[in-house]
Amino acid sequence: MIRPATVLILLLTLRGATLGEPVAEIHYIMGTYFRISADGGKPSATRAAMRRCFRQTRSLEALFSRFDAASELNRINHDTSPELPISRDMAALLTQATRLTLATDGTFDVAAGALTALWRGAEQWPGDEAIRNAKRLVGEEAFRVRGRRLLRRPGVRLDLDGIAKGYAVDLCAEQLRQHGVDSALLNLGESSLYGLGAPRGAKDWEVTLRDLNGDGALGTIRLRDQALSVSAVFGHEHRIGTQRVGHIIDPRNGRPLTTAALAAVVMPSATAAEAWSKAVLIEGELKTFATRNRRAGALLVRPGTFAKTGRISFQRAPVVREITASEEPLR
Amino acid sequence: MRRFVSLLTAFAAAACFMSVLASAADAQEGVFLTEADAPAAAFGNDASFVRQVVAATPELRSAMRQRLGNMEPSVWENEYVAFKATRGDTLLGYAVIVEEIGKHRAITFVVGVRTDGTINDVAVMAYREAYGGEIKAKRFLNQYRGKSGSDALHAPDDVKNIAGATLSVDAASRAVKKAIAVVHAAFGDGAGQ
Repeated sequence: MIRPATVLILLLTLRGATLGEPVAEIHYIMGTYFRISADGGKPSATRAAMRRCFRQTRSLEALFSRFDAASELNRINHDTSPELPISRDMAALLTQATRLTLATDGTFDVAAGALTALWRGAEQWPGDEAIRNAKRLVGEEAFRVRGRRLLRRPGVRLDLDGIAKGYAVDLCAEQLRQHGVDSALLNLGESSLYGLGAPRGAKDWEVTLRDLNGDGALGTIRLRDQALSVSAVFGHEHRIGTQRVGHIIDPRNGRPLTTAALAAVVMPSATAAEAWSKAVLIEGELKTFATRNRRAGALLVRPGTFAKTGRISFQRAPVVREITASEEPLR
Repeated sequence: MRRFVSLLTAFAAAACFMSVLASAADAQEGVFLTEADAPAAAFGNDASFVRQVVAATPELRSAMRQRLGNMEPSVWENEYVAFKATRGDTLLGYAVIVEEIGKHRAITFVVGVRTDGTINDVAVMAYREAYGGEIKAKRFLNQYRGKSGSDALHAPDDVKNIAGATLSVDAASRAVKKAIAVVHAAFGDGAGQ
């Protein structure tokens, strides 16, 4: 006679075997770490789907990178033709970017490449004329996408740093869904994330949000089928003389942000979340974001102030907590 | 029959227990890929791999230094494990395992270097400190007196998922350059130029 306890143990073992173990991989892509953690399903199939994601993201890097001389972005920026053919992904990204420029009243603009190039690594404060000249090349009329063709005004330079990761994360989430992965956390460079489904035994993915300095924790954000984008004024910075200069440029006045702040945006799309996290920092308030995004939420943090709006599941850390170790020194 | 079922149950229970231990160990050590898994992460599951060990002779290091220029690795290994990757009769390149120091300790990477010297893929094999680190409570007793005592004394949990401004990753960048230098020095032109 087989004892009930024996049957129970066998059934639990079988259940464990079919659920599968959590699988995680980290690849170095787009100049940072892309971590995918998946829970449930057959590990071999899950890992195969994850690796398709990594390959796809690497292909996107070859299109969107400004560091790769052979990228499509650099080809576009060095080509003086007013009209040129572009890849399907470039067309899709630029089409989304155009909509986001309109939605953010121009505070997010991928056509601000002339401005970002002017400020990047500048050792002296650019003159007003240089800023004015670069500013003329941004805005809604800077370029247009017609099918698989890009039309743009002479001199317009594109900069996709503020949106490419979000686009890659969105495509990756879709790729995983199509291959039967329904529970995964995608984390590209800590600044663009997507929580697909939820981990086993939980209702959502829990993410710790770094504070303004980067080595402490503000609190936790919970994601379920949502994207999170985090931008900080001094995420990348340099100094012009004694002045700290952030990497985010306000396209409206052509000048970089110089006051410490952090924005975290939760939305259905990682591409849109990336754009809006920059827009929130540039606007310096949450009202525009809240008015135009009903299914989204955001945080805006400055030294001594904290603001929250909309649908974002955020729990503040009860005490100051220090993230004592990470895989790399923070810049 | 009863004896068979008992043995099977005991085996299954032991397998469950070992699996839990292994998962816990991997999470704490930050192991993502074994050496056996590494080349497929760099070149895909449809490639074939032949393992080789490349001794870091003085000649190899000298050739690597020439290739690396001003970049000084944080780790000089005594040997490099490399996997020759082929698909059919076509040489794809080499998957090389290298280490570079992250914040405090070495991170192990597998770097897939194509025959033209470009990178096919780069994956983290292992961290020596928990990814994302631990969150430890700083006890500012004066500020938090009166708050819940359990919060101030809350035992930290491992944090795996962190969001912040984009992470810069110097160790990975150095690892890539070193791997390219290994391939160039060990396997010459045509496989890492």
